[in-house]
Amino acid sequence: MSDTVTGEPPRTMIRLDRVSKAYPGLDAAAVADLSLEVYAGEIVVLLGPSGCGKTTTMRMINRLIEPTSGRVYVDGEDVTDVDADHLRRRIGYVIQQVGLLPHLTVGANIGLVPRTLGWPRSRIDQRVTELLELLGLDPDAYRQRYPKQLSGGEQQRVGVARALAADPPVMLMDEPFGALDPIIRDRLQDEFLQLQEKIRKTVVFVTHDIEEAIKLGDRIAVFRKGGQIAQFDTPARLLAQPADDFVASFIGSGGSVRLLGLQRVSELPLEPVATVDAATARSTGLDAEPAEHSVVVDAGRPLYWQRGGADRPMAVVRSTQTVFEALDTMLAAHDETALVLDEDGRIRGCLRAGTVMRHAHPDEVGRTASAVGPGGPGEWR
Amino acid sequence: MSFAEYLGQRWSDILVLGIQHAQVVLIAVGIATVIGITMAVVVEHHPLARRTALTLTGTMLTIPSFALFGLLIPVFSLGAPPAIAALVLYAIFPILRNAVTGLESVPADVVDAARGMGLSRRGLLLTVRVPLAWPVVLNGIRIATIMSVGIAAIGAAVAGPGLGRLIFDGLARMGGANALNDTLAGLLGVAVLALILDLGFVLISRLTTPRGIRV
Ligand SMILES: Nc1ncnc2c1ncn2[C@@H]1O[C@H](COP(=O)(O)OP(=O)(O)O)[C@@H](O)[C@H]1O
Ligand SMILES: [Mg+2]
Repeated sequence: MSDTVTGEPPRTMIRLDRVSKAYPGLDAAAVADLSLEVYAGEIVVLLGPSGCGKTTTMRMINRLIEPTSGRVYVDGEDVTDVDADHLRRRIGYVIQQVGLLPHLTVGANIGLVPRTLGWPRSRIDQRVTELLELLGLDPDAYRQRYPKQLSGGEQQRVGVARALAADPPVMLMDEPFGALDPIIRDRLQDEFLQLQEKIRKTVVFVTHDIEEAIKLGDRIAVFRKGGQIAQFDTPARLLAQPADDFVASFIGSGGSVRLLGLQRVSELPLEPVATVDAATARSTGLDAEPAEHSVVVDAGRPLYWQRGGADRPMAVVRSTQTVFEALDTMLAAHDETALVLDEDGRIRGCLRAGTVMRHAHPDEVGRTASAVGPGGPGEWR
Repeated sequence: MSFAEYLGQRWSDILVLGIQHAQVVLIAVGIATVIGITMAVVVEHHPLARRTALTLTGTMLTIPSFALFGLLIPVFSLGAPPAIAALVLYAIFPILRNAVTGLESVPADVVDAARGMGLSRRGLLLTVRVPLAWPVVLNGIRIATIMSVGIAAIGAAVAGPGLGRLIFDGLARMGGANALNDTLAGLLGVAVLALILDLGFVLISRLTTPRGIRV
């Protein structure tokens, strides 16, 4: 997910301005008077129960559905001023059923939009290779295969690659992982987040799965029936402060604990740790009173808290892990202090359970520890 | 003369008539294919037009072929033209019906994804819908062809070319020399031609069905 933006204001990439859609023959509008802004580079999740107008809202952005009233802007341009086909070539589109063209190879499927745009053959081939690699599919093995020769997870990887082919700034994804089994879904979600780190697309992502929304969304728009937004907020604020009973019941219980899953250890203030060499520790024994947090190390490798002795298990976490994982580790070790290492295994400090209690607040989620302090969080994450 | 002796003597004449027969059929089916597929594309978004087109072309099949050939004489006079025209009228229905069914049976999610990628209507038709509908469309052409081989034999009534001449000649001279042999050869020739064309379609289907949708 994105870093805290300081200074320059976010740029609006997609704007829905009082958009409504009424299907003929239905008394109630599917989407009613909806306004929504999506900033460049963020993932906005449209979340809500089935039939509440998420798909309709998303499809009005690339004009697969024309609004009954209201305006839709993409990158500042009113979409009705643009040829619909041209508009769609600039917007990636991924759907749950994938919809790969069964009579074309994986390579031809991915190359379809570039071919429509008239790219030269060599550039298309190169782009296909690049995208297959980006999506973790071996180009040599997959390029010539047909969709029916792929597993569900592989098909959706190709679906995402195809949507990215012409490098569109905007991606629309309608429950893209909804038909996959949970393990594959989880993996594709992780991969998608890593991918987004690199490509920084503006993504509108539809789901009815709250966990998926919390995991992927920079911001989440919770829909209620009739295409109205009940709350539009960061995952953390949604969990901590649901706007009303509808949102609260949709989110379910345990919001504060789940909040911990959104917070990285590195976002909390850590306390300093002293290190004592193993040889020194042995020679001094327990005669001298050890400093509050001093850890016995051997060749840079932490062994045990000097105070607790070599026999007590020690909770060790990485700074990139979530606070939830850190607490879990601490509970398992019966230790109310966890030693925090950075990605290279160097000691960063230690995290105390009390610190978690004091800092578990939605406004602190997503901040780097150094940014905590006066000034508050950035306007968006 | 025994039938075997008759064949030994007349095989080259029979072959020429068979080839003419095939020509009439293939020309007619070719024209009907263009008309049928065009109609299918034109009417697909208009349910009323589609129903009307299917009913009209379907009704053609209820007109006895002998009568239709005769009715077309004032327009096309005698020979190949009225025979081909009648065959076209018969062949449109199976081709149109299968083309409509084929285009409709293209999976909605595939069409949705293709539209979402910005394929134009034409691009969608040419690169997605027709290729995917192709096996069904081709089967319609095949049915039209086999059907036309039989009907074309009646074309001899309007002096149309083909194996029908042998049949009509033989029937007219029944009891005369080689009358039975002529009739038999004509009937057999029609059956063999139908078989050959059918095999031809199996081959075409193999060659033109994209690998990804072969069953
Ligand atoms: N093409 C359509 N014609 C008529 N009604 C539709 C059509 N598409 C969706 N609807 C109706 O509009 C409402 C919203 O649908 P949709 O946007 O698909 O919801 P969601 O994606 O949140 O499940 C539903 O009540 C649905 O039945
Ligand atoms: Mg939906």
